[in-house]
Amino acid sequence: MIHLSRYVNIGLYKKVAKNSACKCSAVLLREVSRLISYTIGMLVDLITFLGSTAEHLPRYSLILLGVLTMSYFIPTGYWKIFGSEEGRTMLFYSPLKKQFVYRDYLGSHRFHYRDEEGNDYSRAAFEELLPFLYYKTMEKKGLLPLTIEGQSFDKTTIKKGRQGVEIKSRHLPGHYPQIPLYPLFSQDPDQAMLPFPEDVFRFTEKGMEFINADFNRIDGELSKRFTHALMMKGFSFPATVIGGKTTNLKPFDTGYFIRDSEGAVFHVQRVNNEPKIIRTPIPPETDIRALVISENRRKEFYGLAITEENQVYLISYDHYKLIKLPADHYDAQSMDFKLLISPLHRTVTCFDDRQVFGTVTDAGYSPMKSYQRKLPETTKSTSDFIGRMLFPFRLTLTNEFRGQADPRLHWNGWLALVGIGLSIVGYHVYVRGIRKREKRSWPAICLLLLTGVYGLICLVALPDDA
Amino acid sequence: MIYSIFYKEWIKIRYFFLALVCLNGAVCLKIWVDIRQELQAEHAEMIWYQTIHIQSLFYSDIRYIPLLSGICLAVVQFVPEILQKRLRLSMHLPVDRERLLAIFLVLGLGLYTALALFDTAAIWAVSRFYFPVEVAVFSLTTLLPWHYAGFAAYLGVSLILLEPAWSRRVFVLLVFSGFISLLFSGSGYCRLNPALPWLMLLSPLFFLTVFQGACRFQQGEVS
Repeated sequence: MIHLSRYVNIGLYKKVAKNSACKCSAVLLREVSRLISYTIGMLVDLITFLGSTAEHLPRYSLILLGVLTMSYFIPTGYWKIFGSEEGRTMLFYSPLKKQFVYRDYLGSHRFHYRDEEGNDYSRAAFEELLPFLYYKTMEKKGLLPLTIEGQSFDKTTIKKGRQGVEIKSRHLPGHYPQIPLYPLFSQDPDQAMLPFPEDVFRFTEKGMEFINADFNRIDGELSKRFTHALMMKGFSFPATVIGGKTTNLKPFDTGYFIRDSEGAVFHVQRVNNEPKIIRTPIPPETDIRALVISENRRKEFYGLAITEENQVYLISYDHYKLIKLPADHYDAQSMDFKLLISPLHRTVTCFDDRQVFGTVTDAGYSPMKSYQRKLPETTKSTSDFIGRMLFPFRLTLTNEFRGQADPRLHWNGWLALVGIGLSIVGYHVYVRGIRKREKRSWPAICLLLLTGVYGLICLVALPDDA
Repeated sequence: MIYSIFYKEWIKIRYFFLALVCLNGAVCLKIWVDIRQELQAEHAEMIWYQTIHIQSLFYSDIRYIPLLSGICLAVVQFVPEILQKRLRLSMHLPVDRERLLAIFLVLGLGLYTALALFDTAAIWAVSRFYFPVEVAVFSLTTLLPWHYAGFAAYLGVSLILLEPAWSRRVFVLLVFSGFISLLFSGSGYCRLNPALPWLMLLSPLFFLTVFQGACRFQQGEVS
């Protein structure tokens, strides 16, 4: 009997529970459908309100859209057709002339090859001034070995003494979208090539995590080993700057340089799948914003560190000593940077879209000579003048110093007043002469004052219904 | 009345909507099959490297599908109204013109949002299954401008269809095409993201322009 009553009770309970669950579901469904109806009603009301707010608002909405779209496409198209190409200057130091020489690009495949004093050279003569840069040409001409400053240089010594590092502003952290996952190559002395690791790493608030690509799962054991090794060296999580080359197209791998949350920089390597962590003596107060690593067989430096104050240092192989480079004019936000190393000198150049700065140092990085020059002004042509007169402003989305969209509005200066004036005259002619039935309106004049030719096109394409 | 109009609109476009669901589903399925096959044929770490550092988008097949969906929805919703002058009849219903159009737009955009959410969920699921969460997050943010292009295309095509004057139609076509082409500029992931908030601020303007089209359609004015 007892068992039976228990079963009956359980059955009743189940029935009640089932009923309650059904009721709950019904109530929930009803509430959800009410919420959806309410939301739809609200959206309809909102859009209705938008549509009936003002009589002329819809027209001006389309005009505004038209102005914005035209301010991007019309000037872009105009300058593509009529504009001149931007000038470019490549600055080098000639060990033969003992002065800077440069190649100006003037657009339309025209170049100037000159030295600091303004002397012109042919291309062949210019290349001969830079024997370390064009050593292959020198070899073909039979000019190797050559003697400079009492030292003889053949092909091998030149090759061994050369290195170049270029840092484009658009490749710096924060200047392009980057998924913060990195491959850490395992350095195996028995391997001739660098095989890609089967995992990528990331830094979290608590440690270094490796995610295996085959299974898309965190490799707990490897993560634990690296996190432990980092903590043993005093790493304070999370990482703030990570610098390393993610490609295997390099002569060897030197791992990553990682700045922790307290500013200390750690050299993280993977040797035979084991962590090799070195806490570098780089002072934590060096406010590093980017670490650019460049593996090179010369093994003079690991890479470069760029600070928030736009100072550039080499991280030397000699106990991670920082060597300051003479780049006083460098601004990481808007400049590209280049370091050219030859057997005798080091040339630091940085340039934006207006000028180029160069400093040459000796092999010990002591500055010897500096030079700066404005980029050739190829853009000051008649078509450019007309363009700046016609278009009061232009919208751009690209920036050569950014690896992603950079929306900017460029004002074309006082010259644009001419175009605005012409637009107002054009509108007057259109209203009085062509359209006749339409009255001139002050909002239209205001629009023309602000947007010039773009506004005129919109007003003509979208005449006032009133 | 609102729900009757909704129902009428739903009856009109339901099969086309289902066709669009199938199209979106097929493209998502293709993306899944392709990446699965690639991961089986190649070393997974190389596919990860190409996705993370070379910025090759494994879901690039879906790039123009939201745009196509937006255009199709607008065409299916407004072409029968325009060709058979049904919209003029609807405008005689005891509902404001603005409210009537708002109902049309809410339904059209609601269905478009459902498609966008479906694509987003599918891409998220595929990304998350084969890649770390960071890749999935970047995938979704890369999809944003493409979805926004579909949204703009829906409203742009609606306006073009409602607008009675051909000269204005051409102008609207140029403006919307230009705007939408901006949303597809650049390659790689998240290229447009810094500009996207500014471009999205313009979305209320799209709504407003459609109301002018409806007003002019009712007046039947050609200027």
